[in-house]
Amino acid sequence: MKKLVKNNFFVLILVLVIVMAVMSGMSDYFLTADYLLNATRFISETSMIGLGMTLVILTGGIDLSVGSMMALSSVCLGLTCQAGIPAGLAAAVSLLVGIAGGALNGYAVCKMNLPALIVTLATMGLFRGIALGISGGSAIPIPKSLYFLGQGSIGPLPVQLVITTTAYIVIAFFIYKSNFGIYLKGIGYNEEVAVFSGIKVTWNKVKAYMLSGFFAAFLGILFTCRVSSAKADYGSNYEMDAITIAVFGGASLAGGKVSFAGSYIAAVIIVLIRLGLTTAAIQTEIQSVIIGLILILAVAFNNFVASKKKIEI
Amino acid sequence: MKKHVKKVVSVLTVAVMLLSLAACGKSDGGSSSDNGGDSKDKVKIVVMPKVVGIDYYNAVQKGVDKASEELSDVAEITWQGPTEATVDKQIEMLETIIPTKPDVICIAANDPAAIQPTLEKAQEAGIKVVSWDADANVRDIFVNLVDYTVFGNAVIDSLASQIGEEGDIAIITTTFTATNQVLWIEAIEARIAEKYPNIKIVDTREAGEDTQKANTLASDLMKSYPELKGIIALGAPNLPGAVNAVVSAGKTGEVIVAGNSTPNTMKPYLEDGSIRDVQLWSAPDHGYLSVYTAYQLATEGLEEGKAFTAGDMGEFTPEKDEISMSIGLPLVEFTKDNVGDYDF
Repeated sequence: MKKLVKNNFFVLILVLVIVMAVMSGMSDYFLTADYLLNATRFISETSMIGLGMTLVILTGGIDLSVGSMMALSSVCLGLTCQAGIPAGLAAAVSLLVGIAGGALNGYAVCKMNLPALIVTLATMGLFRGIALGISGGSAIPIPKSLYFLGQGSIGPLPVQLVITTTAYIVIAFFIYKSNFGIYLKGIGYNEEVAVFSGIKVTWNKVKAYMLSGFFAAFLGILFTCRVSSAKADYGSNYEMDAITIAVFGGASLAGGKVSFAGSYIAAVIIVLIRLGLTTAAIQTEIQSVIIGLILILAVAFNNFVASKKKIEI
Repeated sequence: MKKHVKKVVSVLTVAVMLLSLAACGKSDGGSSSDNGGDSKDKVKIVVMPKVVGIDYYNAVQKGVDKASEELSDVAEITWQGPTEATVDKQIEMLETIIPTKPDVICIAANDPAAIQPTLEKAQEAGIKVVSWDADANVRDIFVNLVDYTVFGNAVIDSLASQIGEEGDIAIITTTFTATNQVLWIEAIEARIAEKYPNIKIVDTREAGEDTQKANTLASDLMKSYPELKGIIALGAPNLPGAVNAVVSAGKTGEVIVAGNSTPNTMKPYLEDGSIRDVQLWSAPDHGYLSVYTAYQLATEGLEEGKAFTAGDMGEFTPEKDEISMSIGLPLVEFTKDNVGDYDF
């Protein structure tokens, strides 16, 4: 029992079970396969943006530009498709834009030695501004061939669920099983020590930001394909969702410690609360209050667990 | 050990909070079904504004609540909207609401093109769609604001009657491209050509939705055209700016201002006589009419040219338009005598 209470993941699962129980009590539709499968579309989207953020937080940084990058990627996809470029290529362009944006963040943070909070706050405005500027703020329809990514299913599973879950497994594998993970943890735990240990700190950190940009752009594509049109105001406040998920999942904002399984479950919990409350016709203002309170309690709770843990490599 | 106790306590706190929440959710459901049989037989209507928590939509919500009370035996009405006026939040809410199979969704769309596929999905699921306030491309009926021509005519008629149907006037608009502004100004110009040959529009300027800018523009207009008899200020934030400019130039009564704005903003000016009347519509009535339209649509259905009764607002007749059909709100003229009756 002692060990279980100490385990952050166990606690998250417990919260998830409570949330599921309460939500199904509030609405008859909640515990049905259709509803939950549909909900995984939203869950996957939110957990994907949390994945990039979790990586950056692991290095002790933060990326506030993910929501704006998502919008920029969406608009790029819309505009390139409109220009007659094949859908697959257009999606690749959006992903490249995401990687480039991430590289810009990484370069400014590592090479120019600027605080990540300020750099990404600036690029948050920058990316959103570009997205608004090139799209003129209006919605751009995308070709029907792309709808599959956002609305289709692989077997009974929504496409987003498959993609995001795969992405989590791949990233978690690299972090836990390869040197890349050890480097990132080392950097997050103590950057100076990492430098003296011969880790290529700059390059590894830049990689984390590029991955964050990549996943934000990927989400931009999935999201655009779900709602069938590209628009520059998508993803507002998603950076906050992403940070919430990472921290709720067990990440320390000081760096060096994250949990990918935790982030994934945290996304499930937060999105299910939000969707469940909407289905139960609870007013949006009250929803925000409830979600805020639950988060404060949950994070305070995580802190007890985190404070006693040593780094694990 | 102490730490563990704390952890358990906080988990329990979260649990209790969630459970008590579930309890209120349930008791709400219980009380509404007490009023009128099984809630499954009731017509379920969801009304979604562009955004919740702003004055204007709070006023609309009052009308929705009133209709909801009147129909409480036969319909279950919920008011739900995003806390930010963005279309992606609306889409997410709709996708969550569609599986609960309401009979009608009334939506004020933040972006008609982006929300179209979601509304099509709702229609495929057998849900009827009513658009209100801001139109959507997919809908069974649109509950519009006041008809553009009726509105434009009312504004110019008010001004004309105050300046003796002659003289130079200027218009302050929000932007030259906004649909409502373009159609209002067209209606005003047509009315002048038809009824007021001695009135001349000497200038039309853009103020955005900016009280300060409208104020500066009105002052400039009065300087550039010393003979100016009237100013039409369109756009809720612009009218008080124009009235203020006339008052500070000491020209109250010499230069007449007319236009549209909200009653709470204009109340002081109406009461001290700096403006005689303000044209708009009633925000609560918009919510009220939308609910009754949705109810009619779900029960007896709506047909072009066939009138239906919308509670105490009287009869409305749907008219054909480019997409399906629409009805419009009646015009309301605020004066110092009735402005106190409205709160938005």
